[in-house]
Amino acid sequence: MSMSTSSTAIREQAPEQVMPPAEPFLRMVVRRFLKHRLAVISLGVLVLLILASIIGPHFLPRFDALDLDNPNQAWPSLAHPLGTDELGEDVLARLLVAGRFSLFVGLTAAFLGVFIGTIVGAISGYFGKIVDTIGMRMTDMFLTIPLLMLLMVLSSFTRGKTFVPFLPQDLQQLPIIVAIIGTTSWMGVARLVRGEFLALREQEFVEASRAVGGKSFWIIVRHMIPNAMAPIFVAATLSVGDAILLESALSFLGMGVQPPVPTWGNMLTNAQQYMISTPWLAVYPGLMIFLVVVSINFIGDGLRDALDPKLKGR
Amino acid sequence: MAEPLLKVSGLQTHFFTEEGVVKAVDGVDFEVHRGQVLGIVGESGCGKSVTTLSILRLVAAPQGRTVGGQILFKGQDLLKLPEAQMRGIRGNRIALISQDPLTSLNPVLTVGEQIMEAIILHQHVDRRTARKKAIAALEAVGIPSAASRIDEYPHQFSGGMRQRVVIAMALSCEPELLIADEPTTALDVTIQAQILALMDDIRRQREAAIILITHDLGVVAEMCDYVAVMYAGKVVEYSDVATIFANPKHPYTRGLLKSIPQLGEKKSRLVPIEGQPPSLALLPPGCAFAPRCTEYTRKCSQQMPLLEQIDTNHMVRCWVTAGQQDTPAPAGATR
Repeated sequence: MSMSTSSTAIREQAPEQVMPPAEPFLRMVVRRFLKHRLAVISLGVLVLLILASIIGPHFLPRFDALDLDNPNQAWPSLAHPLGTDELGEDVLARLLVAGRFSLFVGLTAAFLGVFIGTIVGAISGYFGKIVDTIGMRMTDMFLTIPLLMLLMVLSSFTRGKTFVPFLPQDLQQLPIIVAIIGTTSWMGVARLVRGEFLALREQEFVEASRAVGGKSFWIIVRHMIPNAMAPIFVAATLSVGDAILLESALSFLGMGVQPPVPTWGNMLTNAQQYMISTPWLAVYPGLMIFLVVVSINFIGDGLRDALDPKLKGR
Repeated sequence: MAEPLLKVSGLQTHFFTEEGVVKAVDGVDFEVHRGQVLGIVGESGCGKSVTTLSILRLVAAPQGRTVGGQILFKGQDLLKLPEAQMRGIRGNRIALISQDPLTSLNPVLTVGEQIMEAIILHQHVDRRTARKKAIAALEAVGIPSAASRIDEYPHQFSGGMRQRVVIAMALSCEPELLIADEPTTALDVTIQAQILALMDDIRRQREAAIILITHDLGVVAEMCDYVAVMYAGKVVEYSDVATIFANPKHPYTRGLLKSIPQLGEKKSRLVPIEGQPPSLALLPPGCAFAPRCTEYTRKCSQQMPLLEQIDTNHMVRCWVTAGQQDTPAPAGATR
């Protein structure tokens, strides 16, 4: 055969790549994200808020409820930059401590929700047929339940119970609230991931993996979820904002985190009674919620643009 | 001759759709021996790809099902194996080189991770060994500086290089049978030649058998030892490559050969095969090629001819040329 003599020669001639080394994916995403000015500012605001919540309270005066010299409902002053509340506690300090809890609940609940949503969506989209029908009708069912009502019922059932042994008693409510919000806010992500998977499942690399003997679990985890990561990431970011809002709403209605553990939501509830005498008590936590949620939404927007492969040229 | 590595007989894979039963593969027989290349040729939609998917049992259920026949791989019927054992064969003993290297590589994983996939799944080795083997596989398919390119992503490779990666994936577990489904259609001609030479190398060095699916008869002449010509889900002619080109018996095979342009020949027109292939859901009762056939007789539209042996290693499914015209078909042999 003439082929046999020429084949080795051809192999050695295999052309060396002349393509320039491609930009690493992560660097490209960062570069595109940095072009989105609002998102960058928002990220700065959010990081600042998180740092302030973690570090800030250490530098502010400790509240001592027994100190009768504490002025209550004081106007903002040098000693108390945002004034004091009805018990005489420094509002700035309380606001920052509340930030710890609100942000913690928001982040963990969103993570839980995205986790559940990804699993439900992945299974529905990958297996299709009857599995898909069951998964998606379950999702629809969850969507039809008025969320706030469900949350209130759940939280009143679980109040005062101990689920996590090593936490102090007044913090027991946090994991409960996280679990409640997380298990009731996965539906959007589930639909999104299912849609992605319906398209991914037809891709040839999925069949290629099956052709080398990959099991379903392997294909889902190894091949499909990494390909769906971009939209999942965006959805996760946005759902942090939703989770913080939900927690605030719950706490505002008195069904969420209970004082003395402060969150922005229950600070709002508290401030309600003093709307006439000290209206700023309501403004601060409201402003914080607003700032965080708006920032997160802008960050999500920026991420969506940065991760969108269709905008490669930019 | 020794026992064939793969022997397919009477394979039937049907798709049960709302429009009716589509008989994508309906009577396919062939053998592949170690160190040999079998070419499967035919028009688009004649069941070539479905045949290979059936061998690997990857036809999409529940619409598609292999409803009949035998696929003996080293004497073992693949159609009767449990799924877990079948997974152990895919990629390990029988590997698939798919048509389009662009879409069959996962864009978010490095090529190394993808080549290591089969090695880790089948050989139960640690990552470091798997990585060494993957580098060796890349080197074997002629990718320069494999040790550094293994950490690159598919989009950093050119088309021909990507097809080499796909072949490296298929070779990573040293399979005994390689199925290449139009491995060169997405590539330009010079790269095509390189890839084919590479596959020929593999066949000779590893004594592997190759099933090469193509509609390029030039590739068949160059590469194959045996050829199965398919039409409308059936093998219509099967022979060694010299006989197919020198002495084609089936009118369809002759038509195919006539429709190839000859270099240096001043012909004003090619001779196409008139008409369209039939819908696989509404096959005529007789020979599926009858409506387009130049040697049509009345019998052709009444009864399906059998795949008859007319010479050593030469089988034809035709009433006219196989001289079956006068012999009445045995009862129940209408397939």
